[in-house]
Amino acid sequence: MISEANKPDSNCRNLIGVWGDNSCPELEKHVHCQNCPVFANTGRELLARQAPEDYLVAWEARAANLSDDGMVDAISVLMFRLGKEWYSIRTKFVKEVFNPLPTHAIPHRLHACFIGLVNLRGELVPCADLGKLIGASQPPADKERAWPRMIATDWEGTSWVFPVDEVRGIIYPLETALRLPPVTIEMASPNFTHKIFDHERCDVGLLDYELIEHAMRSVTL
Amino acid sequence: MTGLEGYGDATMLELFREDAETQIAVLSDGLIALESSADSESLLEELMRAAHSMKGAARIAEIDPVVKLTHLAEDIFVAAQRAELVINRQAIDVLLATTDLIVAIVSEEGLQNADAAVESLLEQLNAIRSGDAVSDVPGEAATSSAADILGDTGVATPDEDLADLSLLELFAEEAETQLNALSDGLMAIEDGGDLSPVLEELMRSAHSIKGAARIVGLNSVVKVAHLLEDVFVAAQKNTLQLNRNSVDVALSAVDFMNGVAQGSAPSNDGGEEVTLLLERLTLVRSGELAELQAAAKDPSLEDPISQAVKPSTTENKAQDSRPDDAPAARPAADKAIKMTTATLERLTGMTAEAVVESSRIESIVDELTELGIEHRKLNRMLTELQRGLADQDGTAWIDEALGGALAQLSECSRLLAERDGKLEHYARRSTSLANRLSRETLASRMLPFGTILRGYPRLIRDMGNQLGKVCRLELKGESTLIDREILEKLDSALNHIVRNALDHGLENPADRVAANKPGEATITLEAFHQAGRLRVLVSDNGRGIDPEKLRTSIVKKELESEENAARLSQEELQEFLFLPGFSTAAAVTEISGRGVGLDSVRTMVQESGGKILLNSTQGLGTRFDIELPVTRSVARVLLLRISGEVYAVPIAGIEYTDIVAASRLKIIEGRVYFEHKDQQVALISAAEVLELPETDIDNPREEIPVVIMQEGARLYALEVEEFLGERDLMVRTLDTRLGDVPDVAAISTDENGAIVLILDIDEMIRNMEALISGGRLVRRSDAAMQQSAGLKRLLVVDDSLTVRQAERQVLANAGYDVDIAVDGLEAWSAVRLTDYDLVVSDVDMPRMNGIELVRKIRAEGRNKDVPVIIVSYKDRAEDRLKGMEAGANYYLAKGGFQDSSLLNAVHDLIGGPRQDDK
Repeated sequence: MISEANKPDSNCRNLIGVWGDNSCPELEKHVHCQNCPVFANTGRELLARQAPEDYLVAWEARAANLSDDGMVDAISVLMFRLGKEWYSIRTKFVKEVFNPLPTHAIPHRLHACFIGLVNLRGELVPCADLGKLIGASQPPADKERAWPRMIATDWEGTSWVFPVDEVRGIIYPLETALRLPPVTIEMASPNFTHKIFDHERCDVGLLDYELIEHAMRSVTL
Repeated sequence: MTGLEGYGDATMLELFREDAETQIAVLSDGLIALESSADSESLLEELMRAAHSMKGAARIAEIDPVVKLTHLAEDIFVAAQRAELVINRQAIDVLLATTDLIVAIVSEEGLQNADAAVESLLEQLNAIRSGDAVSDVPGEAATSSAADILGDTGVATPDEDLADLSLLELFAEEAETQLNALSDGLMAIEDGGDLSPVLEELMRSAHSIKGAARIVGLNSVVKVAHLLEDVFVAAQKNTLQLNRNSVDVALSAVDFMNGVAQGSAPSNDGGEEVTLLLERLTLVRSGELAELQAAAKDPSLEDPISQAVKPSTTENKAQDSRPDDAPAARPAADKAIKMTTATLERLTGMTAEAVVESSRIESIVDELTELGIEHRKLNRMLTELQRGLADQDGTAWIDEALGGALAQLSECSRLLAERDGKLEHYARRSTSLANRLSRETLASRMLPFGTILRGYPRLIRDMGNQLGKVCRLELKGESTLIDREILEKLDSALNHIVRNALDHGLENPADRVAANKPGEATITLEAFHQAGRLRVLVSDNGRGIDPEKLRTSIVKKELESEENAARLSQEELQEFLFLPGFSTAAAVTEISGRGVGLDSVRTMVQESGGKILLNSTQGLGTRFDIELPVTRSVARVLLLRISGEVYAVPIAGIEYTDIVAASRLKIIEGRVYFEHKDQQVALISAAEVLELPETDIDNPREEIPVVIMQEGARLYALEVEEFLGERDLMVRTLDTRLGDVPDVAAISTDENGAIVLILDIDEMIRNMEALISGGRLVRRSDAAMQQSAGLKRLLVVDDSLTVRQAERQVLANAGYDVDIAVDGLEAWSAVRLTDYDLVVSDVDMPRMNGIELVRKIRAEGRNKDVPVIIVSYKDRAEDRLKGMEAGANYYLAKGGFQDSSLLNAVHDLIGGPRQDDK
């Protein structure tokens, strides 16, 4: 329960706690903020907090934006970065996102895009370089800006793992916001980016995952 | 009609099978409930619906017999609903038998000769439908007595254990156990020795079957089992001597009961078979078997039923002991459940992961222990500080503070040690649990060799009698564990070989004695694990194979010319025995001699990834040596580091390992060698063979870890980065998307969860050989170079050296560039890595046969359009068809390469030898 005694400044962890100057007297008892009831309460309050006023309004607007057949006019995609470029694939093809795991190369499988196998909780899943396959720009400008992750996909029961440089998360671009890619990308063959949209001032390519899956079949042989 | 071939298509069947399972469960539950239920109205409604939906489904799946059966069943239920007829116990029996039959028809194994059974059931169903079932179904007494017993014991009420099994199924299950015991016991009687425990066992088994048969109303079995029991009781009391003939009769009784239990023999007791059997058994019991020939007219034959009632004291006594017998018999019948390989594969993966996770806890324990050590260091430092301060003035308060700190520290150490201990206990328990889990998962795929041997003593005895040969069977290694899949294949292979041995291999007792051998011959079946492989030996001490006779036979069948045949070695000669349709037997008998046996045996062994060798010495006997993988699930390996990653080599494939000093190496013709026992051993880097990047190439090492492997008399050394120790790894198959990766046999994970690739030693040796003898057979760049040389490149595949060389010569003389491969597997590696213009392949080869090779080439890979010519001794129309269907462009009979037909075929397909030739 939230008692008044436990409720000083909920930001105390960043001021006098372990993320602050360590001067909080409670630290002697709890050693780490994670063990302190104040910290726990702050977390609980976060979940129990009142929705901001504009929150409901925003969702109302969104619901009003239903098209005639009752479907929301937005699609759900996972946005990630390869090198300097942002890409996305439809969320329905994503199984999970995880911290990079070691890969093991496969002898005689010399395709430039093929990396090897990854042990994903006992399942041995092939892993490929998506950037090389689709011809994305090479490594990120500075190492500082890399939060490497791996994405496991799922397409009709088969999985692939792709290392990426950063995952932004799941976003919902409106279908009306999708544009055809500029001619330069269109020319590249095969063309894996079939749509482009803006997200927070970034150009994001929407990849045709089914085509990728198809192309992957020759990668492992 | 064999099984379901001919009914509908496969996917429809799958769907139907699932559907039928549900409906059949409803039907059998409902029928059993109907026997005891008052509320028959709702039950009948349910039954009618189930029958109706199954009929619809069967019609879609085009399984005609099921449509007919369910249609009649539905009719009966409808009529019962309208009160036009009453479903009595007999009708329920027939309806239950109908569901059993449907289960058998749709089961994956299918049902042999279902037609007769369907006909008979349809008749019986019709009889019920028309209301005259009672007069038509025989054995009224049986059903009423069954009813009495059911009434007494209440077995018919579907309690939790029996709910999904019909009584007949239960009977079949129990009968199997008891009948096996009977068979074993009877065989033991013939072997002699102390018979009283054997007879006791036999008597109990016969008695248990009798009881079980009475419950399900199988009157004929009750009678047979009863007489059998009497015979054993008499033998126990020594009022009867059991001889070979009486054992024969008893065994035929076992066969009969087995037939009834499996549903393949008529269960009514009016049949001729039953009558004759009962007569014979009565004779045996009265000790008058010698007069068997006169049996049919023997006036001493009384009504077996009245006989059966007489020794009521024995029976009552035995009945009292029944509750003890029954549970004793149960544990033998371990129930098997079906599981898809995909599920098992996932389970194996997760089990491996559980082991890895538990070992992570252990590493946390180690870290805590390290923390304890740090504590001790701190303690020492503080103690020294305290000692240093003791000599100085005015430091009393510091001294005191230090004392407090020290006390605090030792308290910390104590707490830490306590937690460490607790965690360690937890880690140990969790590791042991994970290990047991993993062992059990693996064990679930294994069965002892003995499980398939049960039938063999009987087979040899019966066949020996039939052929007039005296033979003893010796079994060794019955507890050797073998993978289920492999065991199944092995069973039919052994059956073929044993029959062959009895029929052709063994001489008559008279001939044996004349040849100075004991009159009784021996066939030995032996299984053991050797070097991670399963070896099964089938040997006999018969006459062996006469090479001259074999030669004559080969020439007579026009498989080889007389002069060629004369040149064939013993081994090459024996190869002919494995050809289809090849038989040296003078006459085809019921047992063997059609010449199909060894061909299919070899096919079966090869399909399981094994090989079979034949070793025969004229006059002394024949031995078949079958080598198979024990399992595809566990391998004892040496872990290695290659190109910075973990690989494994099966211990079985390693000759020895060594660390070679760089100073011992010398370079000959651009290849590195070192000397070992007067042999120049070529040293090849594993990374080079595997086409992996070499690490530390600029930094030559002083000492090089090598794995030495042997092929024939030749040694090969594989350079690796580091040895990481021996392990038992759970072997898993590679992702199918990777196809067949050359040099890699399987995949696994180590105790840290790191992926390990298990290397294929045989394939690596071949690739090393190719590397040594000038350039890699498999390098892509080489293939490109070859093509630029302007000659068409052919691949000749044959396991016989003679044939291989002959074909190669014919083609090379014509100007083609010819590569060779010794079997399908090697050829498959070559085809994937080199662009050939044409492949010439044999059919019968170890590891991968020609048909399979062509199929693989056609199915995947970059060279799927390469023309293929098959050259084979197999020259029947169906063999040709098989080859052409697989995708071969030409099918030539062997011997063809000696004339111009091979060359003509090659010309036909790809033209002249130069790339620019048309």
